[in-house]
Amino acid sequence: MSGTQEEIRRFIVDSLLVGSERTDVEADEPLTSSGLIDSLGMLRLITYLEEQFQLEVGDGDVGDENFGTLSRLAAFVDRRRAES
Amino acid sequence: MGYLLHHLLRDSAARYAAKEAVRMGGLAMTFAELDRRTNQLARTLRRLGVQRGDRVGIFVPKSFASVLSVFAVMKAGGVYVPLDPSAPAARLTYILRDCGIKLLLSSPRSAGRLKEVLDGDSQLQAVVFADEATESALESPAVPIIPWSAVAQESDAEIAATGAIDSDLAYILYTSGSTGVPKGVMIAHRTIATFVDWSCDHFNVTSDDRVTSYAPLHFDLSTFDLFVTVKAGGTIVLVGEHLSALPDQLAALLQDEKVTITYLVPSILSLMVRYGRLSDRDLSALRLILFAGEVFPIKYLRQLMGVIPHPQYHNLYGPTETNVCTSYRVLLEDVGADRTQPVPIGEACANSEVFALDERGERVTEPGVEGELWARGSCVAQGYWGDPEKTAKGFVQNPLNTAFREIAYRTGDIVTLAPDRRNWLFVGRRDHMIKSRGYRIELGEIESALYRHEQVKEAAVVAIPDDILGSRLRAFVVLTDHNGVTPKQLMTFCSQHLPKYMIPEAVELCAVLPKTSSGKIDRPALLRQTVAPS
Repeated sequence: MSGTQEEIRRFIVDSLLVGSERTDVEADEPLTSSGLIDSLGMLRLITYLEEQFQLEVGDGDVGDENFGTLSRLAAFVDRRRAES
Repeated sequence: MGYLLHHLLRDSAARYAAKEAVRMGGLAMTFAELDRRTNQLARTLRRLGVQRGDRVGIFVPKSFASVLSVFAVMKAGGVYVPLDPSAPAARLTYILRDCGIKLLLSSPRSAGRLKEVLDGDSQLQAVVFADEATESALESPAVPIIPWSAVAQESDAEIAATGAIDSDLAYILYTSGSTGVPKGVMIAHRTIATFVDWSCDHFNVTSDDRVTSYAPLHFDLSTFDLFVTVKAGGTIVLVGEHLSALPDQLAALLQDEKVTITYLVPSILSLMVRYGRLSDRDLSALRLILFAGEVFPIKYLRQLMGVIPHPQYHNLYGPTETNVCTSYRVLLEDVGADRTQPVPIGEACANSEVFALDERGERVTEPGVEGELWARGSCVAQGYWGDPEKTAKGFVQNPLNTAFREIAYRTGDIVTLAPDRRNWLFVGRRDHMIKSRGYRIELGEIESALYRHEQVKEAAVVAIPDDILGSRLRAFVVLTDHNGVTPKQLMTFCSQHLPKYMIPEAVELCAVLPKTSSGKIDRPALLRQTVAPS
């Protein structure tokens, strides 16, 4: 698991999964269709990504291709950082 | 004669038999099918012993089964009680027992959560699957589970009337209770029939309309989505729960399904305006955007109206205890660059009346004067299930009516009259009830949950205002033993009693909580602490 992915995984587990019986999230596990992350979790995740990785999540970024799984999220972050 | 909510389905099935009544994921169900299947499901419920007035739980993800369940329970003469699929098992069990639910409508898709509930002390006698989704089979010999295949054996002819009248309950919705347990708001058929009549007329809903069903069944916004659309012979476009987290996908759905009317909470609209790529979509079919549930920050409403200018925008207001009792049509000038105040909650809906009483109990008639908003008429609920004490506090004799006994509801919302002397403006509340993403949250319920932990000596929860979410929750806790428990453990503990949206985002452990001169916890001081730069 890459560094970026591990950091995001930590955030999701520590901040977004609190209270669920889940203590981990797999790299390719669906995040939203499973109900793991709802609109509240999504907003907190976006804020975290922007602050932690100094990037801007823009219009059109928040869809299944980028936010569908942990590995897609990490790829999105790495891509966005490389662009700036 | 049509005076019960399922009569709406019967009448539309006669008129629009072959029309699509419900759509999801590219699949559709016609009015005739919906009518037939709900007859089969209703017969199953009657065969299992459901009598007029019995409460029947609905525990399904948003799906065709949601619509089937609602109408089937009413056709069987029952009262539907929608359960939040994401609520913890303890809370679900509480609700099941509180209103005496013996039978649950569910789906194989809810198998995991269902098993948790069945393993608890729910006192359920049977579960009926309202759809045939193929997921992992549920093994729970304790409670018989009737599969859809058994339901499909029943006759699909119209089921005999049960003798219910419009004063009888249609549903019970559980909302947050300040003393630590949720309270069941009882709503009669008449209340929703009044709302449906006003809605169809006010918004000119027709059989050409395609209306999203975004709100979960346990949110009263769903009554518009289901009953108004069915009455008009329109098409219900079901929105799966996960789409609320994916604004890009949600916006695509509005476009691809050519949705004409959508009724959403402001936080979802704000999410879409920021991340939904709205300017790239063809939303020409969308003629009406309705919102309710919380204050819509002007800056996001302004952006939304700028990016989708052609639909009509309406702000709908009303606590669960009155469904929607006022509405306001938003005009461009209401969101002008110079405006900072939220839009008005508007005027009473047809056949409902609202008024405000100031601190002396006198009617507010002048702009700028504040008072508590009251509602009267068919829009008012019948009270809280099994709680005469709480019911007596909110549902009281209308002080302005000295001629006859009449129950009115005091909303607890503080309002003021707009300069036009017709529209009401929401000011705030005096108690500790807040809205977050449209959800009603009593801070006291969260505090009660924390107090259940033996190491918690004192607890206070504050709501930090947030642009998109409405409120963010933070808890401040004093422990009996300094190192006994971590914030994370406390949050996990909360999740065993509270639905996800009520779990504080952060728990701060303190040595002591600030107090007022009368010894009560000083919440404003705590709130100031959260916004002060550190």
